[in-house]
Amino acid sequence: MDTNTIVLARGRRPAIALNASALARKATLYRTALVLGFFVLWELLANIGAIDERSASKPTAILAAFGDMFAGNAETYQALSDTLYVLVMAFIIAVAIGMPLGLALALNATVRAAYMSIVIYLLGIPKTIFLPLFVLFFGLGNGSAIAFGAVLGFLQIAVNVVAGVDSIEPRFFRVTSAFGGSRWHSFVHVILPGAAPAIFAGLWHGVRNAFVGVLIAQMFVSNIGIGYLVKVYTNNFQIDNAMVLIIISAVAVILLGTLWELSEARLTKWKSTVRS
Amino acid sequence: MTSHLNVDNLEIRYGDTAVEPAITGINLEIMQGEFVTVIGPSGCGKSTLLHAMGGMLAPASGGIYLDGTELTRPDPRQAAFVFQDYSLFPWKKVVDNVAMGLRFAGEDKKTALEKAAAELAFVGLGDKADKYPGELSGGMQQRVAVARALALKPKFLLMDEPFGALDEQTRRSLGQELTKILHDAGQSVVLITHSLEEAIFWADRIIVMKAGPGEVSKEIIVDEPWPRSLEFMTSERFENLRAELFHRIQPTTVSEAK
Ligand SMILES: Nc1ncnc2c1ncn2[C@@H]1O[C@H](COP(=O)(O)OP(=O)(O)OP(=O)(O)O)[C@@H](O)[C@H]1O
Ligand SMILES: [Mg+2]
Repeated sequence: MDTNTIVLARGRRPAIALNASALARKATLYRTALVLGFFVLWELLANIGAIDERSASKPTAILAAFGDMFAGNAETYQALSDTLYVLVMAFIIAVAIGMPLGLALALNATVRAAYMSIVIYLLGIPKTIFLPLFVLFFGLGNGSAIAFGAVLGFLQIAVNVVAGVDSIEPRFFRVTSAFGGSRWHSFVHVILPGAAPAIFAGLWHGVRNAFVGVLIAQMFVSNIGIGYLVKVYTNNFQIDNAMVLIIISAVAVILLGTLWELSEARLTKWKSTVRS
Repeated sequence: MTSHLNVDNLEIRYGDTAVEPAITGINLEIMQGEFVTVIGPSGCGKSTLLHAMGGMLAPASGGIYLDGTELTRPDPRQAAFVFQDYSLFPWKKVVDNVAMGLRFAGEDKKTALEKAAAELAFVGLGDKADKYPGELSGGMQQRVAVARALALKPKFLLMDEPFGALDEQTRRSLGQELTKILHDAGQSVVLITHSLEEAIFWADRIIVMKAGPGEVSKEIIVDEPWPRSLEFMTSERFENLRAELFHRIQPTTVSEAK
């Protein structure tokens, strides 16, 4: 099928071919309309008193708070840079543990038999319950947030690496050995590129989970960063300010996700050529 | 010196030695430049024989000898494979796929890519070097797989039902073209097939196998000059060979032969 054309069959009408870029434009329009509509409705409901402005705030108030918080409020910048630092550290540690762990689990049968069940178990249980233990080990500062983010991140990365390696068809290993390839050749020419799409997805899930971990740790056991500020603002009924930070976090994740998708598409371009 | 590949009283068993061997008592000699096809019922051990010839399986007894030296592990410069499912790496461009074996053999990237490009031109795909395999048709992918094997200048080319996934038309025309260029190049070929037509068209000699356990039941010489045109397929000679082969691989004939 021509990749530029998406065929939509609707009801008894003949299938119509819609240009992909036209479709994308239309989808963007619809999406923007929904988001704008949401904010307009929020504003209206707050103005007529249908929702409580003091607890739910409203878009115009948030916009005003946005200006205040970034004009001459060192606290905001400090919280943002602290959080970015903690997230980057957590992610680096998550990758440094998750990638080798994932590869060891994927490639060594003994390691897998011994530890895979533990990883799956840890992945499944709600880890927030262990947060107090992190405080005991790492204190109330950035340490806890980094460690908690790293734990949430590395588990995701490890299981995705395992899934990625498992998804490689055995025939590629057979052909490597038939053509005189060594174990190292298999690793470089088959395992890494073959698992790359899943590893990429794993890194993305890892970063998101690390971010969740960082925010939760800051909110509950730390006195630094966005999470902590959101808690303080909410407790003081400065909802507008809390909303600003929440929206910034959400937008940051969306932007990061888009960036990630674009770079993934570039790095694993071959994926789009594979027909099932 | 002309090379020759010897299969000497070969027996292959999968797993436990108590079970029946997959193939047993196989004796063959294949000379350089010869085209040999192997045909037989499903499960009779054709792939097993071919994999053993390429050093991919350890014999339970007997052995594979190339110019007198025993082949104990895959060595694509001696015998290179073309698989039915092509098995091209979807994450490598076509030219990198063809260069793969050369890279494994330790050639530097530049030389390997130059040789790969030349080999692609040889199979008529010079313009597809920078495509991914997923962007090519099945017939083209199989040409790439042939180029990948030929890039190593193997003494023997081992093909396991290379055209099984192609439609009949493509299969015939690609077969005619490949037999010509391979024969002109003096390449030795061992080809496994389910197709009577292919078994005759590609062969100087047809090895007929039977199942339970896998053994050679008959060798048939096809004394038809090269290059072969598709007209050969409609000739009376071809029909006679086809009829003989047809009866040879029927289960009844197999039990009679026992
Ligand atoms: N990896 C394996 N492990 C165990 N038994 C195997 C294995 N591969 C093949 N066999 C067995 O060995 C015998 C020969 O199999 P082989 O694949 O060589 O047959 P074949 O002639 O190539 O069949 P087909 O025409 O269907 O490809 C069969 O009985 C098969 O079940
Ligand atoms: Mg087979």
